[in-house]
Amino acid sequence: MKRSTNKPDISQIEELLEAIQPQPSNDFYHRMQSSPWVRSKSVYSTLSSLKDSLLLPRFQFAALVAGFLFLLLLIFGFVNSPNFIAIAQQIANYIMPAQSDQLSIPYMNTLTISPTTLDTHNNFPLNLEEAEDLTSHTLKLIPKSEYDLTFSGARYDPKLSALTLRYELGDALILFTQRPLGEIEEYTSVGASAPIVILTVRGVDGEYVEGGWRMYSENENLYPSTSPDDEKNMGVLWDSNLPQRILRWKEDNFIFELLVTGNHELEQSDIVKIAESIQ
Amino acid sequence: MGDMSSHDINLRDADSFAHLFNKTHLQIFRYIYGLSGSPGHEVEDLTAETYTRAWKARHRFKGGEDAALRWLIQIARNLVIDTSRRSKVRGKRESLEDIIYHENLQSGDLSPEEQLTKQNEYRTLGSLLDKLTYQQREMLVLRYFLGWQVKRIATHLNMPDNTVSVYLRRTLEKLRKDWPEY
Repeated sequence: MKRSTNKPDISQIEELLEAIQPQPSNDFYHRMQSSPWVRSKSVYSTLSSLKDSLLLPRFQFAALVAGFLFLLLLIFGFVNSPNFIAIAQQIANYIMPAQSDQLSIPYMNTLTISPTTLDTHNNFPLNLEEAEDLTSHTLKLIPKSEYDLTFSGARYDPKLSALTLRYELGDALILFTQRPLGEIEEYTSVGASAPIVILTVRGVDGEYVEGGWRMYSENENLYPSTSPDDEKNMGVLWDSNLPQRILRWKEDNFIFELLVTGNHELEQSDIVKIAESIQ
Repeated sequence: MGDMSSHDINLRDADSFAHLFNKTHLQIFRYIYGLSGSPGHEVEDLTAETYTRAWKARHRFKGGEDAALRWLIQIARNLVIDTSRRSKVRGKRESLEDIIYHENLQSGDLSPEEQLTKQNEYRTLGSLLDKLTYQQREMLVLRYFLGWQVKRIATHLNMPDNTVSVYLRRTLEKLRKDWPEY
């Protein structure tokens, strides 16, 4: 790189940058040979080498493979049974996609779970002292930060031992829920198409999703039902454009959730920042 | 990797995941290398961890190979930021100045004098990259280490093309401006 002055010009800096092409070492490739996707892939090759090492006649080896496949089928059947899936997913996920983007919920249930019903001051009658008295652990709070949130009440769900603190930020509503991990597992249900972002929050894995369930109109009904019971149900549709954001994470044997709704411009990074500030 | 397919891929399948790893690991490695300023073995650890996390979350991924690469980069980015935060807490952070200097020492067919000049340039470049913000450094990494075009960077960072061009230009100008006179 010849240059007339000591300082390189921009194209020379670009050349230098382009020339930086680091490569992983052989150790890295060796290590990746034992990664889970390679191990899963190698079942067939293991069987092949097993055949070679056992030197079995062709029909005996076929019987062995058939027996092995039958065993796999049994395990597969068990693993795919609805109960098993339900239990496994509840353990693994904080946010769980529903079967579709449209749900039919009985009116009674709707009254208890809808975020819109949570969005009233009367549902958060407790002050901080009363909330703390109801829990056996030290309460985590969102401090007054650059976002200047205002605490406006709390509610306690004794069934789940879940405490939800309500904060306001202009027209935005922030619900911060904390619940000790216990026998009852629960998760936030989102639409099947909702992209769940895995991110790092407070040094642990968290799950983040944008959007929410809303009532749909007649012409939006994706799966028209002929069930006579429909009049008792309310149809809800997953809408990724709703200004609702959910962030969930597990920390120190607690499940935490930040749900942001209302009229706001808070983005993923803001919500993570709020989560990071919790003390 | 501009020729990546836009067809949905099934990452639940180990073969597909292995294929994705083969096709993308160099980009993820270089991305982490440029963004983190960590020595080679730590970059390898972070690269391996990126794919392990992706493997664990693969059943939730939906999209084509291009989306998969963006998803992997997002995981890598989160890891780098998290690791950097922890390192700061521990008061231990490598500098890109040393990393880039040491890893570009072996410049085969240069004369000793040219080699010395090259080494000084890399040392200076590393030191200047170290002083950039994450966003500035990330754009340079995507543009030059990974060879992405501006349009692709803009899509990935959800910014207008023009903004990315301007940011890149300003960052290069900053590097030139801060480049010391010998």
